[in-house]
Amino acid sequence: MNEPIEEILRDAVDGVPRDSSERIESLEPAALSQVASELVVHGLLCELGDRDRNQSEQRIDRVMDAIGGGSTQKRRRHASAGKRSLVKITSSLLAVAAALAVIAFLAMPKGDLLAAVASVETMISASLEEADRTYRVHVVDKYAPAELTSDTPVEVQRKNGSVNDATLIVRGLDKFVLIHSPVWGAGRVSGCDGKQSWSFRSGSPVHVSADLSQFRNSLPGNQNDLPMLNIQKHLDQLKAGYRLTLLPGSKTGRNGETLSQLTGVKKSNEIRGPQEIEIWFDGSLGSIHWMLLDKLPRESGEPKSILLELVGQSAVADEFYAFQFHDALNRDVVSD
Amino acid sequence: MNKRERTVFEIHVRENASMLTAYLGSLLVDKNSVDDLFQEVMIEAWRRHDDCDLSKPFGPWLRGIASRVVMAEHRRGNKVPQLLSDEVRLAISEQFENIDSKAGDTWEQRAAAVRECIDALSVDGKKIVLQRYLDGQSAREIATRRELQIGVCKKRLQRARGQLVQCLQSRGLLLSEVLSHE
Repeated sequence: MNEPIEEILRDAVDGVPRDSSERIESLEPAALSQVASELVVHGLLCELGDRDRNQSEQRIDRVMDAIGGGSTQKRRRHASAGKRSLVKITSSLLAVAAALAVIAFLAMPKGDLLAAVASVETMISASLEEADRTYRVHVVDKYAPAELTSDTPVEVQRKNGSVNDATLIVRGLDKFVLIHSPVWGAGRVSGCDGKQSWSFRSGSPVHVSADLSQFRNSLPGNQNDLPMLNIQKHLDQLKAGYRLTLLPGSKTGRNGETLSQLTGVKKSNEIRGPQEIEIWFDGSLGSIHWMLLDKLPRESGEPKSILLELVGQSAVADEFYAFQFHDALNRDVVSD
Repeated sequence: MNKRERTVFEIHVRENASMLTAYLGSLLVDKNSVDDLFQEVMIEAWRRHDDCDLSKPFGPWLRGIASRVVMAEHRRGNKVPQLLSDEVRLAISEQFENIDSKAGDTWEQRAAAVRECIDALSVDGKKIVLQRYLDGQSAREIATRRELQIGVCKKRLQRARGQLVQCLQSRGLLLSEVLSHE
């Protein structure tokens, strides 16, 4: 693409907008493709940013208000407590799933146990690999203010920032980056590179700690003894706590994979963690496609239900797990 | 219109909101224009939904309305659409039809490669893209914060978008060549 056209594109997308249609009427085919592709990428990125800021929902509300009646989601939100909305479970956190798979291994009837052994072992192996996996975190349901105990006022939850629409990237047992939504999570980013843990949010310095678990409490489910990392540490707590059911090959994944369903119901309220867990996994590869943590303890200040969705398995650079990669503003660093 | 029809329409709106946002973002410059025209396009679709052939995909029909609304806005001179030759608009539409054809139940699933390609950018490329699009900073704000000349900043942004184009082409989300010129 020649320099004048590149300049027009730069001005149009990142500078002062102007009508340049006449100047590019006679684009060569290759330049036409390039111009269109770059504009499409600009549009895709704008949409991605809007999605992270939850602006799409606001637009939909405005449209439905304009045509009368309001949106069903909005009415649901206003109805407090809310039923679980369209639960589109798509995936889960691998480490938790591996832990639960071990629970299944230990607690299932003999027939199911034999059928599940191979896939369970594959899942555990997968969880220990230094592979990168990217998840989106969805808050499926929240407790209504009246359902919360006095220990967890709504204001505290608001300050802590919700994990709704956060992106989580994990590698192995101790590396992770959790990027909260700018809207729901106050722009908070936290992580651990295996040597130190770190966290910062909009307008704050970077807090770092040699304690690798220092900032893990922002991880979904972590406050409820369902760790996404270091599953062995918590296995003893988990293995006896849930009544498990396995339905091998009960569903087909979006790319044709045969998925099995593992459900767990907590045996006693004495046990911490969500009341119910649902996992859909591909036993042949060890990949988990869906996981729902339902009826989380209300005293934890967490949402009622969280859905974890595997959205990517591309490798990221080692430095991705260090705070410097994400700290575009070169913030001050504070050691905790 | 009855409640059932409104509910069906809302489902269409929800299923296509992200796609329409991306499409309008490709044709327009400023965010306020996207907000305004998103509503205008959806309301126009609501008015004309009896004309919609439900046996065919809703997305291309919606983009057709969007394209006309954007051009009408252009003619009124109220907004400043960019680079809107017919050829370019058709080429953009072809790219969106290609994205429509990808596997996935939702736009987010079909366009998942965008996040993957951002992650694959160089450290500096990723930083500047995140500042521009996820933090919502203008090129001028980024240049000021990073103590760059505005021209250098815009070139870096363009270079990063170019790398994303190549990455998305390699993953099949974008066509390497469009056919509109033929």
